[in-house]
Amino acid sequence: MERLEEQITVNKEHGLHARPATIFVQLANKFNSSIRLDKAGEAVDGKSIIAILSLGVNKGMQVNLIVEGSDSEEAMQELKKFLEAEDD
Amino acid sequence: MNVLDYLDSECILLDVKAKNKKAAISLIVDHLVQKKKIAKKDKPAVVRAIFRREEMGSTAIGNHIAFPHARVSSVKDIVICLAVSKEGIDFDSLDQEPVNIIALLLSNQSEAGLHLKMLAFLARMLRDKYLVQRLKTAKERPEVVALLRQQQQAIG
Repeated sequence: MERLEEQITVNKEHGLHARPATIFVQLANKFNSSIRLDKAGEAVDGKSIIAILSLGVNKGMQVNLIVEGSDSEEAMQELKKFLEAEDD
Repeated sequence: MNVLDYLDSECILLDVKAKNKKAAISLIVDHLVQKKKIAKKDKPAVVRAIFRREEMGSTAIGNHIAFPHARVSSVKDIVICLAVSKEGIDFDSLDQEPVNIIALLLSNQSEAGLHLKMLAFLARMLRDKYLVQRLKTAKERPEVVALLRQQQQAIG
């Protein structure tokens, strides 16, 4: 089980509002790894849309993405790419 | 942030009965017209905007909650309507479960920041399954207002 953690700047146009939060969770659910998103010390389940939404992540904010499991490398790569991309 | 600054207690609907998403949204928007939160002439545009958003992906995001929302020019800052259904409504939800709590949010186009902040705040309140359960069984509006006030204090 490999645990990966990276600090990522969210570049989504309007931050992680309902639609990008939904897409993030859909991507996260493709992986077996457990996924957490941490904003300023508040960590939530990366596979729950309401949890992600509740963080209120705006454009330009930094989050820590924590991924742990057998497919953590692919999960980190894909989710990081999504959060850093501007389009939502 | 205080949801109750934007949620008029007259815009809390208890024991809503609707057979699907379309009927539920129409019923809520009708109520907002009746309470003069939106003008009658603006109803078609508001409903269209909400459905356009739903077509991009259902706002029924699981946990028996839905957040239909739209940014429209016809409302002043933010209008919220909280509708509770005891039986649950087929809302085309992402987890296929019926929806018991609908928090409909309309914001003025110039209020993008406030709109997102309010969505996040509502999510923060409603991610608590205990609150969802309590709202579902609430019998009167003051009970709902008290539950929301309590929850706001709890989450700070």
